[in-house]
Amino acid sequence: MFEILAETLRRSTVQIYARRHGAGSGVIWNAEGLVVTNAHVIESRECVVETPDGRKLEAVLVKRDARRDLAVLRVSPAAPWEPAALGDSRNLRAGQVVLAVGNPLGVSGAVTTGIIHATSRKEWIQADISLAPGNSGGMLADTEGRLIGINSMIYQGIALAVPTHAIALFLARAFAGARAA
Amino acid sequence: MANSLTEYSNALADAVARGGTVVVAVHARERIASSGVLWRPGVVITADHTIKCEEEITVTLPDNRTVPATLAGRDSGTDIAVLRVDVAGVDAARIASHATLQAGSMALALGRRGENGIAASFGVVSAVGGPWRTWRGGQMECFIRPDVNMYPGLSGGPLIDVEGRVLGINTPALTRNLPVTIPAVTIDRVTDELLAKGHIARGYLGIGLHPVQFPDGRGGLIILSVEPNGPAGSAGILIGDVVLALDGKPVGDTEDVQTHLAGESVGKPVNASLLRGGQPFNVSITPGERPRGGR
Repeated sequence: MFEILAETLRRSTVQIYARRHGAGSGVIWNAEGLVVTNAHVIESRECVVETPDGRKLEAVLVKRDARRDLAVLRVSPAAPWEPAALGDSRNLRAGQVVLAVGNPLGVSGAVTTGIIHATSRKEWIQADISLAPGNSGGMLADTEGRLIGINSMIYQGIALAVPTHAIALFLARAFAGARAA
Repeated sequence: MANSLTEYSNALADAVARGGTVVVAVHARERIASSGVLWRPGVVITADHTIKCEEEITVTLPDNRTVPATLAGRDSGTDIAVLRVDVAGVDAARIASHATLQAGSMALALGRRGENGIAASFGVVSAVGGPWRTWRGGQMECFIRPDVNMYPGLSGGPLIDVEGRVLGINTPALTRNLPVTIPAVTIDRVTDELLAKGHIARGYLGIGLHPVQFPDGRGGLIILSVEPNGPAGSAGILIGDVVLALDGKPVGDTEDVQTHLAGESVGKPVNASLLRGGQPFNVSITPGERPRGGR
């Protein structure tokens, strides 16, 4: 029942090679070539982004915030390049169904489903969903196929994701800073 | 396509919201609070093993008020503790019968994180079975194994169905690896007794037993010790007698005797079939109440 949605989400999910070992996941943020991922996925300024159809693109790190575990990369996009639809991460309900798409343990485009566990922490989305290394930087989406967060870590078994509204804030600051510099 | 998934998603979120109106946080241990259920007006049920201190217990209600609670009774056998809270205008749990429950039914485990609201975990009922006795000696009317993640703080919280009705409360303390759900019917029975007496009376015969097998393949339990003036001793039972059956039900293991004495056995005469020197005989034994704090 989740197949069509999963396919849609996969088209906006990339693999990121930026560490000596293994790959992380990333999300196509906009048509201009921005890719959002976790800061802990990126170890160097240069990295390679692999698109869902298998093309490898050189990427440059634009901004990294280890405290928020967010990073934004820029590539020169070539079609097909489908940015994720953005959802509202401020009005989540405990129990609502969520999907994660990423590349856990090297398996490309793997899908897991779960629910929102609790809405008690504004800075993190807490989800009851199974994630593995390699899901980091990948998408957490609602049942309308909209991005609500970037999967970041697991704490006491609970999956924590950076909410979309925090990503938007991070990007606004990143580009305000870039213009000032 | 996406719409039917969103309907499903909304239904689960609605179930959590509905079920959450009877879920409380129970502060009776250090660090992470456990969860509990407003079972009846003024009565909160939680998992007994999460009550580490019996004094100064507080409960955080669904409306975020934190109120004092008193321990009305506890039973480690079934891992049920009953608290009284003096609150008005709060919901009590809507109970779902386990009779229609099947393996594969969707279910949610709920908890409350202090004043931080409801927490949920989703899965299915993994297995449903008949009556069983816990390793702590408590009798359960049915076996329910939930396939849900038991995150810290969810102990003592309810397992609910997708309508938001309570099936029981979840505990990881009664089995070695995976959690079980204490069924609502067991909670009702134990709560009635705890509210009336403060503890669960366990039937007691005052004998020590060991399994024996006869050459013809029949089994029984040989009596190794008899409590003087205990229920069996008063009935004339001697060391060396072999118990074959209780109320006509063969006993081959001490577990069978425990099972027979579980529930409301105190004061109700049991017809015991025994062998003495090879000769069968019957005797009526009236189980007493197991001394508390002792064996």
